[in-house]
Amino acid sequence: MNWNAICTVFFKELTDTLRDKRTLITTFLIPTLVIPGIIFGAGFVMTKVIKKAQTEATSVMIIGEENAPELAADIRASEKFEVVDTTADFKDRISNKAIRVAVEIPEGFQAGISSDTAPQITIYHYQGEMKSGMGRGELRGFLTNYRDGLVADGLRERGLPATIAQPFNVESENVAPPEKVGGNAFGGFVPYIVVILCMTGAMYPAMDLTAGEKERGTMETLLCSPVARVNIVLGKFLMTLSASVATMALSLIMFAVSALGAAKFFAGGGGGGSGGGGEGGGFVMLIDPWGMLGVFGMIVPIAVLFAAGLLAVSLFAKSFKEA
Amino acid sequence: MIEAVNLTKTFKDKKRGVVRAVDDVSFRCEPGQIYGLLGANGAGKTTALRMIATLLKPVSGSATVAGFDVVKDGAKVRAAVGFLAASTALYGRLTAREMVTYFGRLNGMDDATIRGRIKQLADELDMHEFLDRKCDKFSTGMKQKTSIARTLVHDPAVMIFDEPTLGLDVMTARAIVRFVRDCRDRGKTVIYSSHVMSEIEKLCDRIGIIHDGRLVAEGTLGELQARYEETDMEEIFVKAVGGEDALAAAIEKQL
Repeated sequence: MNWNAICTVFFKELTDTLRDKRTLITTFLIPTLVIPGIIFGAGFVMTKVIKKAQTEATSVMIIGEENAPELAADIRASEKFEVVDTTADFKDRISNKAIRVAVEIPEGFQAGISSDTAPQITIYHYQGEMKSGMGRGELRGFLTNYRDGLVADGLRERGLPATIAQPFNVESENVAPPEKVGGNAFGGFVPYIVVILCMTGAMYPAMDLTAGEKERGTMETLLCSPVARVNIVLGKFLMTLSASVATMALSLIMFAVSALGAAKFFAGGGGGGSGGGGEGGGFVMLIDPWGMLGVFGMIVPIAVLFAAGLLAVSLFAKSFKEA
Repeated sequence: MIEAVNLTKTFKDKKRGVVRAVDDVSFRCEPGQIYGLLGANGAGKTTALRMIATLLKPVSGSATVAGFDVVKDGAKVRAAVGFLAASTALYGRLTAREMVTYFGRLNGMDDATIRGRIKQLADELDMHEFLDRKCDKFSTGMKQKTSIARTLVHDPAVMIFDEPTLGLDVMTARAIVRFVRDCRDRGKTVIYSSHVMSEIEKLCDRIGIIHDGRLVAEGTLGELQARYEETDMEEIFVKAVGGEDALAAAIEKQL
């Protein structure tokens, strides 16, 4: 181990790498462009889609409308729903996204609610499809309201207080500050992105410093020098590591910057729909500097691992393509 | 001083089985002398030189360079040797000056010494013009001059030149031959391998003819001329390897 030699190798590899366009692209350009791209692009598309889905009326098909003319009329009257003509292939039409949901009202529904037999209403939806899911929620909420109305009516008819059906109320209050809400939501996927970027950052230099040198024939030149092999390896390792760490640092910074930028952008842009507003609020989080440093510290060992592993693997490759 | 004793290197090859690339080669080269290794392509010149430069490990036999054993004292041997071969390329993204500086540093020289040495080498090799340009844009001659400067930046006592004039134009080749001769005159130990007969004939104090991994003849030009009763180097070479048929057979064997 000779620090002078290690530093010499390191600084030479650094200049060499900084002059290589391909490495610059993978190490610096990708994190600087991809991260804001993901946040702005995905965030933009997501909010747009959600907002569109929310403002659009839920297309619903009512099966057995004649069994509950009152309820059906209420659904038709609601602005939230757009009732589509009933067809037999409603399940297929939901699958094909032609309509969002369908509701099936059984025979004798009206008679059933007056008697003791509670009839069953079925909502057909397509799980995993966002619009269908939202339609289901809307419809469910609508039906629950309708039912509550019936209950209230029934109680009033019998001269009973409304609190019999609802002896107490439940409410939940959020104590988490808005930045923590956003932080938790983001915290989930940041590590994955960072780990992947960490690897792409290390991969190219690792290949260039080993297989690339072999291919270009400079490895033998280097091995002619009296420097102990371990110093050469350590110098190259440090370079790979710094590329990896640089990619990661850059991506974290870009992440913070674009998250803050996105917060302003989305908060200013909308807030119309409740979900959109909620998400926009989620962006108003602050990745505080200490948290960033913490993430950084945690990732360094991973970077070390990747750098060493990739260096070792690509050392066995004869040429660049093989690596 | 270079001394090789029964140096042998074998390779395993899928098609040809065990290949004896260098077979029991022994020679000596004193300071102030140029030892010429003459041989056809694939005769084993480069393999022998790479063993002396510690890039390959001999299977048997030994070699000492400036008193250090190539196997046991690899780092010290490398510090004493400047090795130049077709396989020792340049870093394309570095300039000639950076390239030479890098190897100066790897040899443990301080920056002031390196600067002085670069100036001196650039004067001798006439490379001031392209010293600060990137190597991948160089012509073959410029590359070779840079390689030589890289090889000699630490002023090694022993120099190994493996086909240094390959692919160069006459002017550059002559400049390099002149430079090698100057090194000899300054008391360096030089090994010079080539398959260009005229270069070997003009330059070398002792000549070793290597054929199919074995050293088949060795001596000064005068001695070789006397032994084979020929004055022309090419004729001496063909006779030493056992006639044109042997030469053709050796080439056949490599395929």
